[in-house]
Amino acid sequence: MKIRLVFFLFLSLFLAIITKLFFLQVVSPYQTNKTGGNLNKIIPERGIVYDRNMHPLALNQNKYRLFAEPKKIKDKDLLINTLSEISNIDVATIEARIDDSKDWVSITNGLSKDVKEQIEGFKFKGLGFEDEFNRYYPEASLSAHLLGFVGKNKDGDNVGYFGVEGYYNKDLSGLPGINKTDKDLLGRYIFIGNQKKIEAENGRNLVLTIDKSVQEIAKEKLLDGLDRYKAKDGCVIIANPKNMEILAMVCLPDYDLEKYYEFSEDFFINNAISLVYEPGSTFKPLIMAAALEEKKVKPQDTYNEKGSIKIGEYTIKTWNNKYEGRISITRILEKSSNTGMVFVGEKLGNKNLLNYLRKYGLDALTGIDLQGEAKTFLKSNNQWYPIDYATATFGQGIAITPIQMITAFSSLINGGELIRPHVVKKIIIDGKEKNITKNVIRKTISVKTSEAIKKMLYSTVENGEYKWAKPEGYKIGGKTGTAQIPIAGKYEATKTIASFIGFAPVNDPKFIALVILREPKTSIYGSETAAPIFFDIAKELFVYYNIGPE
Amino acid sequence: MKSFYKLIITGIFTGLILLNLWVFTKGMHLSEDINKFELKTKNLKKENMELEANLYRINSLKNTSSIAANLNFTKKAVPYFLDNLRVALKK
Repeated sequence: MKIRLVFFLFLSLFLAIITKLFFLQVVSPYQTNKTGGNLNKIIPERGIVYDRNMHPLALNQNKYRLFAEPKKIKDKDLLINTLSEISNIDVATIEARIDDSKDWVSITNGLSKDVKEQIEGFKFKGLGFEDEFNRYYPEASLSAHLLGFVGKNKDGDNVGYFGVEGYYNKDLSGLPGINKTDKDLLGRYIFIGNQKKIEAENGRNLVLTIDKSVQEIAKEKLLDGLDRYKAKDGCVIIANPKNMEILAMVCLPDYDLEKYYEFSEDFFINNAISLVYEPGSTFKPLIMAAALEEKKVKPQDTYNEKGSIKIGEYTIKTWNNKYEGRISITRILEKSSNTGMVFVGEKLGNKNLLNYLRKYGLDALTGIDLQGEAKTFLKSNNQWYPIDYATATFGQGIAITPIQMITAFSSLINGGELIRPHVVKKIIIDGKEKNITKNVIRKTISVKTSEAIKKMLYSTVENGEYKWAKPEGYKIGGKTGTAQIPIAGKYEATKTIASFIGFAPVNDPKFIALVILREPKTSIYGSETAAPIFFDIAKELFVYYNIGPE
Repeated sequence: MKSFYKLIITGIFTGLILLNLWVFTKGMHLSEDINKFELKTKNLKKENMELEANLYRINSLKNTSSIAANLNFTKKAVPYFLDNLRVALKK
């Protein structure tokens, strides 16, 4: 009898244990997961992005997600009204988010510490906060297009989109860790249980080639220029032509990086690398340098500019339809003569022209380390007609990106090296620095030709058709460009892309800058819009880099 | 003799139970300490992050220019280059 009693006692105890286990593992697994046998993902910190002088452009900031457990809320109306007042979210939005049928709902995220403390002060039941990392930009949208932003993917994980954040997403995001621990009901560790922790590997820090002071100068001058010339949009790229480190890259209009979700996708496109445009006359020095390199022309040769040229059914004129008779080859660049360039193109020959377009890298991506570079194509050799060869010599009928333009142009003034442009100078991995060095793709022209074209471009600025307010005593080289925009197969006379590409000092270039304005209204010409912006920037850069007059 | 062994075994079991209780209590205290330090580290990290963000905000060009505008320092200095210096120049 006694043995039976003990047997039934044990049996009932085992049944109680089995029932409890069934409840914990099958009926309410959520509660079980929350307290014991936790497998937590340790979120790594995203890498910091610095400018070349180690001033941060993007870093992490602690923010808070506000969540609610609707079933525990007592006075819902009071809670909704208070939250709406503090967080500036509509009452209707909060009301819709607090779904009574759910155990847990997220109300909003990105709350600052101050707001969190304000809400906590009301001691509402059923409300809680979760930590989260948000990107913080001390210089606001100074480098919006260049940096890109951090958004969420469909699984709710942080992902970098566009610019540096997109291109270096894997480096910046790091690797998550795992924390597998057994905890009791109060969330305390149970030492006899499983303990396993693999630390997260934080993201790598990036040091950019960008100088935030140069970026600030470029943005300020571009903003001023867009306003002055009533242009639709614009871009400025400033680089060191000797190693193609990008010093500044600004496109306007831009967007607020922290509130990227309030802007349409069009704002995220970085026109400096994604705009495919006809470069116009800024393209002429590329063809001129090719002809000099192939010894088809010399700077002191002459050309008889008699009048317009007929090619098939097309007539090619100079921009002002004025012709000077016998002029030097240098003068062709100075007065930006389209007919003169057709002459140079004929001397160079069609086969050579196509070879040089490829040598300048105009049929391939530049490979800049930014997400979103547009690919351009050159027509295959058998698709080129005589008019195409003629118009290509003065930069019409050929489409490239601004980054391709500045990369190819840099090779003209750096001794003939086509260098891959880059915006990241160093990657810091666990305190060790990995430097990203100059990457020469190929030689385009010789040092001798480079020196000759630099002199011609200096002469173009000095003796061009337009007199600019240049900083006195400095030797600056450059070329203007005004390209009509093709709309539905026709060129629109009043809509142009005005540009200027220049460098200084001529003898030993410290910087090269490309300024592009789309559809300026006060004047359609690059000489009257983009060029003054370039000279404004150059003036500031001379002071910033401590370059004295020659 | 039999009761002596019984006494020893009871003593050992009682000792083991007490030891178990001591280890359990110690473990609880230790886990509480770990929790406390983990929370402290987390809060310090958070505070560090907030201070870092604040420092860079104050140090930013954006902040400097807004302070300059408030103080009415808006005129840009133009560099002045000296012509015809009356000193020997190394040529």
